[in-house]
Amino acid sequence: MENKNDKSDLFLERRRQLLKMGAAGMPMVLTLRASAQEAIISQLRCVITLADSFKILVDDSGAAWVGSRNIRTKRDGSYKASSLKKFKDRANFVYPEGSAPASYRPDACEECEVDDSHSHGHDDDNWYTDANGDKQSSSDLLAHLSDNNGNYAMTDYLAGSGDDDSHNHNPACDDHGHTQGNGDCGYALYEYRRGMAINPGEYVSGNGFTISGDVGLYLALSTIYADEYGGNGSWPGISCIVSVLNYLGQ
Amino acid sequence: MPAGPYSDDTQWCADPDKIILETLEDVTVAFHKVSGDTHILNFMSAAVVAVLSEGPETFASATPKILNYIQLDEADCPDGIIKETILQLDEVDLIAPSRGNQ
Repeated sequence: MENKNDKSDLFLERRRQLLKMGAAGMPMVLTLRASAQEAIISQLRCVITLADSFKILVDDSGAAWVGSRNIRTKRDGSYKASSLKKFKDRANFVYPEGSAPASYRPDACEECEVDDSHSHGHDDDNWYTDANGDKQSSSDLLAHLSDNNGNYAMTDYLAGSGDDDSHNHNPACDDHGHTQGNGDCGYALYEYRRGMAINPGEYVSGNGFTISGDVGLYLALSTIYADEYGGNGSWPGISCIVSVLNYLGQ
Repeated sequence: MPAGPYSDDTQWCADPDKIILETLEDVTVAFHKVSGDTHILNFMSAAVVAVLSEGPETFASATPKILNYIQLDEADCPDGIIKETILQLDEVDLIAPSRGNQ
């Protein structure tokens, strides 16, 4: 903060005069809307139109599975465990624990206790497993991003999370404490329909996105995806997401 | 017109993450990253943005801080000019009512 004594009387008098002009109606703010801004701000104005419907399945740990399969329900409206398992096994994208914000996670089941000590399969956190279940590094994964035609092929590559439900001590539970017999216990499902328009610029807050509504979950996972793979891959709308994040300096 | 309802108890704040400021003597150029608009601020409006970037303030609580910032006394400041400046800044989205305190 400058000291008042640093300023001359003339300087302060000019400020007083300017304030009087303001009181007389002169605006304190002048706004320029130059056409040149359009090229810059276009990074914020991209709109994602979903080419296909998809669903995001979230468990209480914040892990998420993204796919397009339907999940069948029982008479009581709960999801069939076998259908949930198929959805997870055939998911196009799998995000590790902690990916989904807490507000999107369901309550944990009470019937089962998590017991990782009996797991002999692949780590559920490993979302880089290939089709054979072998661990892959990020560089390995990136090497698989495009096929011979230059098309991105990550969808197929990421399919399958390596969930090792079959190795649990308690056959009624999976590694996260979800009961296999009680259908949808411990899972929340979010659906995104084909043709849905998402304008990420409307969710910008500070240097990131405001996470609210179903779109908020999509944006949260998109940000994680962008951090890992940039604009590569087949995550819906990733180029638009990366465009906005680049503009925000992320 | 302000962008939304307000009262004397409304707390106002500026989000410095959304604004790039460049001061040229008594004029400050403010680029709003979200809207893409560029604003020319005089010393008064620049002071308001600076003070409200530090935290939410009402018209009344912001006034002494702004006067201190611009190195003038209350007697130098025409009635209502600070309030009017805050409303002008709200109109162009450089500041906004603080959420939950409107």
